[in-house]
Amino acid sequence: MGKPAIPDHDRVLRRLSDSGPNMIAVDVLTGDRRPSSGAFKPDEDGLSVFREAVLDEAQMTAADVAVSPQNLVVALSIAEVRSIAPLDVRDDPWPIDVPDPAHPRYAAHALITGWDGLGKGERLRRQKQLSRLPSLAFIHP
Amino acid sequence: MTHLLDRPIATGSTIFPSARAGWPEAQEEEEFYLRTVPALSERRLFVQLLPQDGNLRWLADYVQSEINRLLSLDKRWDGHRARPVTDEAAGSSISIVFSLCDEISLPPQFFPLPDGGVQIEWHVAGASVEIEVDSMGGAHALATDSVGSALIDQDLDLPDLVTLAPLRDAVRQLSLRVVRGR
Repeated sequence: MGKPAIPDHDRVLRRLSDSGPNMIAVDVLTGDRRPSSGAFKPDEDGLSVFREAVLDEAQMTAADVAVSPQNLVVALSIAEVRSIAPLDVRDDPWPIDVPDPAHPRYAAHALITGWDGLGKGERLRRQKQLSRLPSLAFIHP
Repeated sequence: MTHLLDRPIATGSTIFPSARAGWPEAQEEEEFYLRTVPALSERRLFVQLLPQDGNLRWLADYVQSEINRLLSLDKRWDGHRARPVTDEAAGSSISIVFSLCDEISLPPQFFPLPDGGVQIEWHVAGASVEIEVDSMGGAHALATDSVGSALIDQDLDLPDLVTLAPLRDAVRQLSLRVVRGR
């Protein structure tokens, strides 16, 4: 029997770096603050996220995803991520090429995939869509 | 406008390197000139205006400050696998901003990218212009209206000002909207 799919009703958490001041873009007329679409630029294997349900099981929270006090953590609905075709979410526990691979948070590590084969413009548009998902919520600090 | 990094980038450019600690001994000159490079966190970039840039000192100061902030980031600045912002990305970003902006332009927001690139963004009343500059200095622009429909989606071919014209107009329209909206 195959591994069960990650359910739509889960959320994934994305850490926004503390690149000083942060990765938040501000609309100068409305004052609306959203993550820069650059905060959702994938690397070679996808976009690094953490599954909230797995963190919950291990009694961890969004605070455990942050690596410095300046980090922000946002949550995204997996159903909404999947609504941006062809993006999907898959588990990627215990990645090795990270600064602290033994941290328990990495049991919940996952990837937003589906970027392969997209042109630059197509990829940028999807990054922008992620940054504007209705479900996007700032959950830490 | 020209941008000046810690090493010569064009004949005739004036270089203002970050101060080095002491002058090397004579016998170390070859080693110094051939092998000594500033640590990444010490990289500084200076923006020098040319007469044709007009009255954009305010923009030069702002861009210089923002780009140097990004150049000061070390590897893994995102707590993951990020690379430091490259000189090529920094240089292209400055060229692009000065190709798009004039005296009434809104200053853009700058963000580092995990591949060593830079993202440049303007957001006004839901409409936006976003330019991704990759680590090699290549750039792609996406401009959208307030409902997210793409108005411009193109690679930027620097320094071809003709291809930049629609984007320059998009930045100008966003800037005018702010001027009129306040």
